[in-house]
Amino acid sequence: MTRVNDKHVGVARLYGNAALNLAEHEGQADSLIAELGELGQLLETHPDMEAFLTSPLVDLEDREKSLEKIFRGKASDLLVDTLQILNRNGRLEVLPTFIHVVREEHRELRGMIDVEVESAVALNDRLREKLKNAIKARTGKEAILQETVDAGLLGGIVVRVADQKFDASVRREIDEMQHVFHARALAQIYQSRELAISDDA
Amino acid sequence: MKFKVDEISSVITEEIKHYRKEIDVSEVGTVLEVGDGIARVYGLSNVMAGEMVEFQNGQLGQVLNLEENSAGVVVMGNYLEIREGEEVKRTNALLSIPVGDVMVGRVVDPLGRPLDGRGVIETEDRRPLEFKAPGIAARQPVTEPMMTGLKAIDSMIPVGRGQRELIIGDRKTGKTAIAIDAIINQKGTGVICVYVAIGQKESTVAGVVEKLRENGAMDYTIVVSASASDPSPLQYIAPYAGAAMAEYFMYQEGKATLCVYDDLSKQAQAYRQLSLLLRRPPGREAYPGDVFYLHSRLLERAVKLRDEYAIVPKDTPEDSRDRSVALKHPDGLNAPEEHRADDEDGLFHRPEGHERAEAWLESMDDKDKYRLHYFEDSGGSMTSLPIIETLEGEVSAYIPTNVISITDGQIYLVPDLFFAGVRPAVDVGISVSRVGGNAQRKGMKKIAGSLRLDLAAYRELEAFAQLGTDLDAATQLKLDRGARLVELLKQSQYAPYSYQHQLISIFAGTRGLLDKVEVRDVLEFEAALLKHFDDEFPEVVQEIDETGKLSDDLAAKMREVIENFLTHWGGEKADEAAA
Repeated sequence: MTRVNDKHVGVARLYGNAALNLAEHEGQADSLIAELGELGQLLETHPDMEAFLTSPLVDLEDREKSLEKIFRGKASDLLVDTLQILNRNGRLEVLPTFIHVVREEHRELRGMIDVEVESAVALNDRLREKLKNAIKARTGKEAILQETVDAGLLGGIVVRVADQKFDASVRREIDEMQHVFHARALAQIYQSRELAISDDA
Repeated sequence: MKFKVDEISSVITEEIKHYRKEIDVSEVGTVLEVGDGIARVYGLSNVMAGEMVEFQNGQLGQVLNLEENSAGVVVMGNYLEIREGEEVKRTNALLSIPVGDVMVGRVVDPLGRPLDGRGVIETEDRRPLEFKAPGIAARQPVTEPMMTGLKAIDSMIPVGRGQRELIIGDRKTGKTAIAIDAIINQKGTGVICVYVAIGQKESTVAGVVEKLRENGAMDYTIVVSASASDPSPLQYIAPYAGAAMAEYFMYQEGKATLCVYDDLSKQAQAYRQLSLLLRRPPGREAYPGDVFYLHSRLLERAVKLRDEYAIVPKDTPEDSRDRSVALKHPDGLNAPEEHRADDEDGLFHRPEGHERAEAWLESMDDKDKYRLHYFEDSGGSMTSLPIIETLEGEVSAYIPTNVISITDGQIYLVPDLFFAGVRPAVDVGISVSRVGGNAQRKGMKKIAGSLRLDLAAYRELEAFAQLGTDLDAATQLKLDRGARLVELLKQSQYAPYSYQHQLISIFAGTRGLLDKVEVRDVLEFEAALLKHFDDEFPEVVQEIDETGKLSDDLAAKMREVIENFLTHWGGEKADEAAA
């Protein structure tokens, strides 16, 4: 999520739609998404790589040659060509956003939706199924779960679908209780202090 | 301190018992970047302009910019605690603040949180910060006076309830002092006052609060403070918060209110800062394009609401606010003109409506079953006293011209007068009240006209007089009169004059009764004269207060009393001098 730069979204969407349409036309959309996923991970684990690809300081022609050497043959021609086009137009800086947007558009096309699931313990299949059904009922889309386990939740589950967040975690409940108690206790203390002051008077 | 721990634990037990487990559904976005009080948030695709959002640590923000893929949010608190990547929650509500009777006497920040260490403010009532000003039909003209207790202002630049009167002047010319005096003078009138301090030093605000308390004015005053160290978003919303607090009393209780915004130039600067950080294009003096609207929508909220009357069944409770009980004329709006209601609901508006309603009631066959009812939550008012600080008397700067054009007049303060000892340092030549005499009681209106003329003549001749040429008697008289009037209009701080006292002293001045008194003795004489009236002729003072008029008989009586006192006082003075 934080990989997205909102200023790049417009440009990324333009290139993304073009690449995706072409891939869909040639029946390669799913494999393109998989490759982009890998590329995304690569960028995340190798910041130097990302810097090399997105920095405006690198000469475009040098980068073109490097891209050929690194990717040609190892990735589909479609992906390498897309990267080259982005490079030639000086738009490689939008790459992280581009990956995100293409992925999002592809999900949309397939009637699927990314869902972030945080839970205190790992989900089992039964829960996963239940969750997917619930999301299908709500959004009409197939959920692709991205699970993370966070013991800090203490219990329960937090689900995030697009901008919507469903929080049924014990941590939130405790936070909320703390808030309520704090406010009530404070009110109580002030009340009794006022009583005490008026008693003294 | 006597609070008991077990009491608190029982409260907590109670809370736990009633705690219901439910899923919290919210719409969230992510903070992309934060700095200088502005956060850019990704996501929140359905968020609306002006909506309140909540950051993870509970701080509030207001969405000001909606961009293609992000929202610009101003943070109402310490933005340094907000981290990139943090979640931001929609609240589906516009920015609103707590209001109500419990706010009176408190010092709060623009979000209604107490700053005076006197405990939490418990109130259920909230009002939106931004509230659309009432339209034409809901208003009535400004006719009721809002006395400031200052002779110079109440006589020549009268302020009415529902008026917007600008106080403008350089730094250290006594702008705040006028506003504070006006607040102090509302004691016992039932007017609720709101003093909004924007971008001021905490020490200054503390001083003001202390002065208000000393003079017993905190019993009916709310102080809203966004000091110089508060983030600019708070300074930006402070006047709206003050207006919202006053609106509660105006709309819900039909009360008269007085709002002082001290000062709007600082608010405009805070707004300029926000706008530039939000990358809105700068205009003149780098203020954004909507800086006029910033002040016009605030000051437009000052209003005198119409009075509402209706004919209701006799058994309707006196304090009923239910407009549906109003009896409608069978012919509706086609009823004869002298009985016609002002709207389809059978309500009669403004004082004239009162007469028509009475006439209709009289003409009814079964009039014993009905009575005339006044809705006590109607007829409220909000008077605004915005303050603008100028630089070197430059009124043609952007913000001063804007606010001058929005308000119904201005009180112009000048440093020269201030340092010459004329305080309040009001330049009566260029100060005006566009509502003017309508908002003045009859008696004052009668004598204030000549006061203005005398002073104008004095100023014109003053320059000649300094050349030291021989002057004819008439000119000399004008000069003497003027000097005494200027002296008479001087007034110390925190000492508001009642209407009666103002009328007596200005009467004495304009009718030439002070011409025999030495200029340096004028104020001393005035004080003694007013005391003389209070002690010896309370019936005269009372008559002025009750009728508000200056009948010929009364004028003759006053002249006689003053002349007698003058001889007496003159004798005493001579004895003193001899001794």
